Amino acid sequence: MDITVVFQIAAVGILVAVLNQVLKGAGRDDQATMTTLAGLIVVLFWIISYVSDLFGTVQSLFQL
Amino acid sequence: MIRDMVLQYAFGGLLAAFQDCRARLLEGAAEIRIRQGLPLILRTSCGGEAVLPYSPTARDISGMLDKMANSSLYAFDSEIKNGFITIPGGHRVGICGRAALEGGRIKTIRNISGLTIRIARQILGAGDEVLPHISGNCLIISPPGQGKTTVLRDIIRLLSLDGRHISVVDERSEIAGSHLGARQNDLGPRTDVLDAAPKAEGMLLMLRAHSPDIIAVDEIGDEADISAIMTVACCGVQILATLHGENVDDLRKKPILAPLISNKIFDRYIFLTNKPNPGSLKAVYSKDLEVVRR
Amino acid sequence: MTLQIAGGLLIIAATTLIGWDFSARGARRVRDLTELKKSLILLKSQIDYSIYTLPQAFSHISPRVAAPFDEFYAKLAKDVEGGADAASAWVSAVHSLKNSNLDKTDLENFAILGMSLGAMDSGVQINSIDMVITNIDDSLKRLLAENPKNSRMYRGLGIVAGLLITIVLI
Repeated sequence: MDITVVFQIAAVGILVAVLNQVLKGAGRDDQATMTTLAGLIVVLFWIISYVSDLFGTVQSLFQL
Repeated sequence: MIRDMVLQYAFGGLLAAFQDCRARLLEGAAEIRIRQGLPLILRTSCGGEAVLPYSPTARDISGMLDKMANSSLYAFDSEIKNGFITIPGGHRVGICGRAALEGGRIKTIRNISGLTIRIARQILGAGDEVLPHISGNCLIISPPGQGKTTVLRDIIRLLSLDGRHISVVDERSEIAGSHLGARQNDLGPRTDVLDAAPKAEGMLLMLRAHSPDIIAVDEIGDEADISAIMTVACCGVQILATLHGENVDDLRKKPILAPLISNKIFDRYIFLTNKPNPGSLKAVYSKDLEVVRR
Repeated sequence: MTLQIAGGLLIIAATTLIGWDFSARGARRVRDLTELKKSLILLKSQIDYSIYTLPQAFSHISPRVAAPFDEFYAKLAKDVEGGADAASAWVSAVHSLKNSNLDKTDLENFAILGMSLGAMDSGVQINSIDMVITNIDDSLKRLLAENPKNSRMYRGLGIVAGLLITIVLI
């Protein structure tokens, strides 16, 4: 597992938060929500493989 | 040339109709009569008629008038009140339709249903025959359409070329054929034109403002005109005017002219006739109404 | 590695510039609308005099306004003088303003004026012009209120979007 992914996710998180504020400040609430969702999806996209690995590991660990 | 002018302004079906028409017919026309729903008629100066097979729609007519006014009919307000506009070239376009009134007087004309284009033809040399008889105040008399205005126009031009400064009060815009204040006919280099002004007021205005040698007016008719002429005549300015009439008896019969004749304001009464051409000299009378030449 | 950084910086620069441009758009629209309003006030007074024909009025206005309207009125003057009718000449001239900083609604508003041009009554034309001027005033008021907010937003958007894309791609 690459440590850069953590930094990437963190960076995306921060930037999405900033974007959220900027858009909310300009009164475009719906667009703010959309970008938050988009950021969420992108991050999810990244970690989905790790999550599936996690479940696989837990499964093998507990021999389920 | 006339054809180019007409095609420049024709609109809709009229454009095609005039394009198809024989060029010779258009060039020789003195009048083009355009009536809604009726065939186009071209009239020549000798009274002949050519009928074109096209009947214009209201849209054709309003479109053509619009083009003639450069889409700016609002700027021709005062002319439309008098029932016509003058287009470049000095041609007069008579307008008929539904009159809109304001305070009992015609404010404008709407729903335009007809145009009568009178082709202006300045005839250089029309005044040659009459010029030698011009001396002092002159009144040129003839029945309508027999050349008074054409002759007056040319006399003005010739006198202007000769060195006299002339002021023209062109009440009906016929002498100079002005389009938006710019004269379309050649009146000579020493001529000032006041367009569309009432003669009485205009004459006094030009007298005060331009110190002319000669003042020229067309078709004197009412008391205001006559009294203005009497005023101007006593100021040492030469007067040229025209009048509707046929012969000397007409002069004696019109009560309005009595003060002019009895005070011997005019030195010469010049009668014109149609034969052999419009504007031909018929007779000249002196201020005492004695024959000078017949 | 350096290639990635260079690419990333390029992207950030690009989006920032786009953001900056968008933020300036509001100010440009205000400028153009103000100029447009000025030209309409001139047109109104020219027609009010009732002595000038439309081509004359247009050619009087053309030197007194800034681009792109100077060309707009000059072209109009030429077209109508040449025989085109004012209404269609106006519509096609407004079409050519597509590349200006004016917005679609602004242009539609302006184009409507063409229909009353050439009316026989100067009053009708002046009323139409007044209506367009009122609409422009409304737009200007709205823009002046929104612009500071919007321009800040677009600038921030530009930078953040650039950063985001870089992070996502790297």
